[in-house]
Amino acid sequence: MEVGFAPGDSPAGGAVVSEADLEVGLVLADDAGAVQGADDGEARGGVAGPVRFEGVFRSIYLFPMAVSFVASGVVWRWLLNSNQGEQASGLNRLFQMIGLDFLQNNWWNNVDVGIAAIAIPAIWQLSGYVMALFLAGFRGIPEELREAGRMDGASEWKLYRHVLFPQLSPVALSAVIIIGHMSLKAFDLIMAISKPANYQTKVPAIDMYVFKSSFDYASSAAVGAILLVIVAALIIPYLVHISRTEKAK
Amino acid sequence: MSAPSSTAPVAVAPTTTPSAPKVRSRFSVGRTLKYLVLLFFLVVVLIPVYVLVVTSFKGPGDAAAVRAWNLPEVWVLDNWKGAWDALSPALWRTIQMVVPAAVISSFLGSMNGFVLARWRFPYADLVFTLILFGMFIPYQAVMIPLLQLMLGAGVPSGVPSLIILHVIYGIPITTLIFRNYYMSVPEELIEAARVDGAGMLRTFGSIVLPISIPSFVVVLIWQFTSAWNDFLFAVFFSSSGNGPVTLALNNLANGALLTNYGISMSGALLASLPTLLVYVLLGKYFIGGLMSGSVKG
Repeated sequence: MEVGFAPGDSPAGGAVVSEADLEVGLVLADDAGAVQGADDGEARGGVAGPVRFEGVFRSIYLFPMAVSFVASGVVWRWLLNSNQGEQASGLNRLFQMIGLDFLQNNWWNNVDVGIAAIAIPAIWQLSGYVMALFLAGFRGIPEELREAGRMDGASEWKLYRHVLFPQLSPVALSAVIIIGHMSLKAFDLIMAISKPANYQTKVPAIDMYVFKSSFDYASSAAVGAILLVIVAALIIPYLVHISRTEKAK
Repeated sequence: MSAPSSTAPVAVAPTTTPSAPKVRSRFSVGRTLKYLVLLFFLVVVLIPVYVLVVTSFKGPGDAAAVRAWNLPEVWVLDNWKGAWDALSPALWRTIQMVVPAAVISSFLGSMNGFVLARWRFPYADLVFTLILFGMFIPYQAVMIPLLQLMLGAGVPSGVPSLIILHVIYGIPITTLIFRNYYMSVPEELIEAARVDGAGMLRTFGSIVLPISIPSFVVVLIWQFTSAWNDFLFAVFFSSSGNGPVTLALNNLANGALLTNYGISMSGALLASLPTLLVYVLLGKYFIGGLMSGSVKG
């Protein structure tokens, strides 16, 4: 199997791209639901040996990616209900039921850190995707590399720390860039959970909508342009880096 | 997600380790821990699903905060009926919008991908990088100009506007997937067609298109899912009377002063069923699109 995410391996490297990634992705899903044989896991150099029902775990971890933020926002609005004590429902009620009362809080209604509560559903929805990226990365590392490390007497921890994780730094970079720029543009989730007028959950994307709703098109377009600059500051160095790696090939 | 340190010994083949028996005993501890961690996250991921399903079957008298996490006292279908009444016109509009949007943008993407990969022209790489940037561009930055463009061009809001937008903004990702696929097509195949006198269009139509079916499946599914789940374009280019299901769902859930969670959660499930069905039936193609760097939102 080709190295999925190693820079220079694919036309544009990283997460943007490559048929190798696509193949790894397809291979990932190929045995969905199947119980993976031990030899299979060995051959791939599974992270920690084969996992029974791996396909089931993987499919469930990843399913939130197939759901819209608006739909998941409906249930997260309920889960992140700010009522506490007698009136509590959602996660606050769950915390009471399992004896973790001190964890109760008013979530996105908190004026100072309310926006951080919005990150919880975002994490719920996106971490399966990051998992899939890293899984493809791990599966793409040739077994010879692990063998060589073990031959040289590396412990499992050292193998991960000095051999496997460094191989995955392009994957980590891609994941940070992709999730980062999605978060900068966050709109659907906030609209579904909070309200556009809520001060504590206001971000540029929401501001842009609020201006447009009050027919202040100029300000709205200005917010959009600022957002473009912020995202570009993140994306352009990344794209340049990718095309350099490609040229260096 | 399992901690590598706790589960690492599992990967050690007994033959390569001097202390095989010790590894064997730690093997089961690591294994148990691994499955416990996996199961914990499984529960975390499924909690919202439990809430959605349970609440969607609860009657109005069953909404007390104390019973928030319990199963319904009486399973009722009223919420589903209400959600269906509220969302069915929007569901139908979404289908009308998503199908042409997915088909057209896939076709454009395959043509783009072909020229960028196998029928090269000067500065093809520059063009490709620019197209890639289109994948990352915040749509908010182009929203106001797009609104004015659509208005000026006289494109009616609702389904027609949304089809055009999803086709255009689908081009980057579809081009990317097809380009990468065509890069793996042997150069000789294209050369042979060229030697036999086939032009660009002929080569594309008779040689390349027939072998593109796997990529078409990936791209169609990807475009279907992302257009179905889109909310941003829907908010700006349609209204409750002519918008897709995400907009209708948001109005249903956030429209009233006091949210009826039973109906809105039935609605959320209803609006997610098509994409979930695609995910369950054709999951591996969906992941294929996901892994090619596609971006949601």
